[in-house]
Amino acid sequence: MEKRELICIGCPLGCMITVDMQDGKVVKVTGNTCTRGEKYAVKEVTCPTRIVTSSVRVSGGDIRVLSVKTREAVPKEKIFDCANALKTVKVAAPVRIGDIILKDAAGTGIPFVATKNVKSPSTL
Amino acid sequence: MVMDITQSKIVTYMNRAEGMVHIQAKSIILAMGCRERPRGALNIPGFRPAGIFSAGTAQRLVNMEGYMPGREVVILGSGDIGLIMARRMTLEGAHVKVVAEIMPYSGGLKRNIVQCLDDFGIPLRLSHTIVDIRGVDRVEGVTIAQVDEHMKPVPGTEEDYDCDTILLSVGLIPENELSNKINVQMNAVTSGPVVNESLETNVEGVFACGNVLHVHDLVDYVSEEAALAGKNAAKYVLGKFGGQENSAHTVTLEAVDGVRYTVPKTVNVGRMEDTVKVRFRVGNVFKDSYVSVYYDDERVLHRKKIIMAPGEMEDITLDRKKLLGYPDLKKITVKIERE
Repeated sequence: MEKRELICIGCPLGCMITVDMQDGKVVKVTGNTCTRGEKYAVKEVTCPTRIVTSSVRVSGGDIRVLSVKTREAVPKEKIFDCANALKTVKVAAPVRIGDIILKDAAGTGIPFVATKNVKSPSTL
Repeated sequence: MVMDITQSKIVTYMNRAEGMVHIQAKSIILAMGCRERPRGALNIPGFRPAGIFSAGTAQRLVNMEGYMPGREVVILGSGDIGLIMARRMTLEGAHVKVVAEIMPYSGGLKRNIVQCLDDFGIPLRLSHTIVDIRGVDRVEGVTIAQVDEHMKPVPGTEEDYDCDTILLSVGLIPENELSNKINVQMNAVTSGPVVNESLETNVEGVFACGNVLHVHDLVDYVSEEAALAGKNAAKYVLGKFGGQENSAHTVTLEAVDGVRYTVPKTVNVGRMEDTVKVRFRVGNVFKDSYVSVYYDDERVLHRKKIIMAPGEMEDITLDRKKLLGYPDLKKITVKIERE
């Protein structure tokens, strides 16, 4: 039996969760206070995911850097590939919150979306 | 920008369009936020080379201006901004070597430790601090050492790290210079105003909310406080604030045994809404302990918590209906109990 110790990140409580595993399968989850904790723990030991937040350069706008995030969580091992995929991306103002900045972040099928509005001089 | 406020609520502000303007306010909400503790407040020996930034400055440079402050990074302090910058700099291609925290526990949220440090294999060295900064024109490296229980470096535990950048995430200080000008009573623990259930200070009609009141970790709570302060200031302006007639029934909140402070500090039962959120921080890490609330000597709440830490704000809720059943109540005590 393999034991994995985790800290739940579902809420500020940060429960210490222990997952008992056998042959790569979850046998028991303990230490969580809510069902979200159990879901998180199972996911974290089988296919961990993260939302990646970063930024891209924006031209012709009232600000120079636009904050972006992956619309949904991506596999944890793809975090760096996603962040690096933005390096060559340049967008032009205007941009609105939710606009797709990169259609497919590093082959995950999940897009990067804008989390800020950028005005262009004509709309200022 | 507001330059001055007076006890008679004259607000002096200045901007490019209007120049300097005086306005007579009926009510004022203090919402000046907080600033980062700078290097000068830390007594780190060494020269003053380029490459030492507060975490918030680095955050602004990376996220808003699009500049990278450096490539090889050591972070002092484990406040939330420092942790988030550890991840941010890593994703931007920097190498964050270590986070040194002088306390035996982190000052940041647990989920930030997990997602910003553990995810990227960045070591967090508790009970460690920087004892020397090398470099004259630019940071070339730092020496960190373990500290004892009096926070004095332990000789022989020094470790050298080569780096070109140091980020400081060593605490936030509420900006209460304007509050002091009008003699707002301050709480020595929070460095913020002492407020009642309506977030009103001791100066009538002056309210406070957000990081100027006490430093928060989650913006959601700041928003809640802001809404409450705004609502009460509006009531005050409209002459509907009231409560003076009930001021005899004001209960004082006392924070003892592991609870460092409470916001609010007093509750006017006649004026409070149906419920009042009391927020507080604990002074140490408590495992398998209880948050207890006493109405004078009677324990009315005993809630088990698996873990409580200084970096995570806690709260309890006071219920108006319940308080009305205690007409002679003088004091509410909030404390941490082992059992």
